[in-house]
Amino acid sequence: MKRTIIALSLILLVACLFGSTVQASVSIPDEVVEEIKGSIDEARDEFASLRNIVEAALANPDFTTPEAESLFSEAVALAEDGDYPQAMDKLDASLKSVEMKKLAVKTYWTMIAYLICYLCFFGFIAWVLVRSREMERRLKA
Amino acid sequence: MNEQESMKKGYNSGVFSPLVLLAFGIVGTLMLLWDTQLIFSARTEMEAVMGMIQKIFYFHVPSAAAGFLAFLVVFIASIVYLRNGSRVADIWAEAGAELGMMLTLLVLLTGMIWSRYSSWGVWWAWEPRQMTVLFLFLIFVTYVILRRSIHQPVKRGKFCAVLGIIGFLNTPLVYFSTKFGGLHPMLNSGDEGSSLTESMQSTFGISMLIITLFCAFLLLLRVRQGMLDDAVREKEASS
Repeated sequence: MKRTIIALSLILLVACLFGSTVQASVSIPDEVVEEIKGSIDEARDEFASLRNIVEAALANPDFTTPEAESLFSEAVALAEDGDYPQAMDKLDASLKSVEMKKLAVKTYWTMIAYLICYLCFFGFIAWVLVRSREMERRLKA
Repeated sequence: MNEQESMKKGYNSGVFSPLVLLAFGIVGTLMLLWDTQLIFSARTEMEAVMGMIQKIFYFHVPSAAAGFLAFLVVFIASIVYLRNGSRVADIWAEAGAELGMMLTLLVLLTGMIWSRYSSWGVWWAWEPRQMTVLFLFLIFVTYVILRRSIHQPVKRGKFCAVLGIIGFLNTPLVYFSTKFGGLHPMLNSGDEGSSLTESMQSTFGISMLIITLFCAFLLLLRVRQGMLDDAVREKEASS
């Protein structure tokens, strides 16, 4: 009986020692935990602010693209899974796609505006020259 | 030598001679092309907020200024016509009105594109500058229609001269319309569209000069055609 008690006590002691050693090796210091929490919050904030910018850009139907919308959806899904670095990359790509479309649309309409100006100027010249030629012909006749 | 005779000679001499007009036209076209190249070159910076669409500004504003000058020609020629009934003054007024109408149409169209793809997001914002320019354009559309509707020359000249003077009196309203509020950017006001860097300002000045000169060429061409019209009418009436 005595031996059994001593053996059990020893086993318990060893188990406690083993448990505390394992716990000590697994547990993370509070400062490290706070640091990780802080960086996650920072990534979430960064994501939220970029998300607002991209959402505002996508809200303009003139400049949005299917590619930008799908990249945005992927970014939101990744952020929900907590993968902020990947989500940020997707948001960046989405914003880039919108910016490219914006540049293309603005360039196209600027060219249209210049084309209208040139057509009006040279159309006016052509109209005046045709009428002048007709008048000169009638004068000579 | 009466006015009719001097006009008959006029359309083939001086600034109206075909050779002078041809040279003016070639130089004007080349300068216009060079100006366009300058506007889109790296020398003229891209505006940070509006981007590419701001380049419309280099044609839009000079067209508006040239349009105002064309309406000034209408105003002066109309007063001269009402004072002495000069046929030449009537021809200048007609040419100025047609050119001014075309330039105002350009201002409206380029302004609508700018309005849609810059910060306003709409083709037409119903704001004071747009409305006063539209009103000015419609007055001169009426002027052109009126000219083609009245066949008696003296009556046509008088009615159109009065309308031309009224039309020109609307231009200060257009110029000062931004003071009544609205969204239209103003030059040198520090708001969007007016934040021009040095390179933008120099390109703008060059555009202003070239487009005004090109419009002067268009006006001379149209005046010559008016003189030819008149000579033909005179010839057909006498025969």
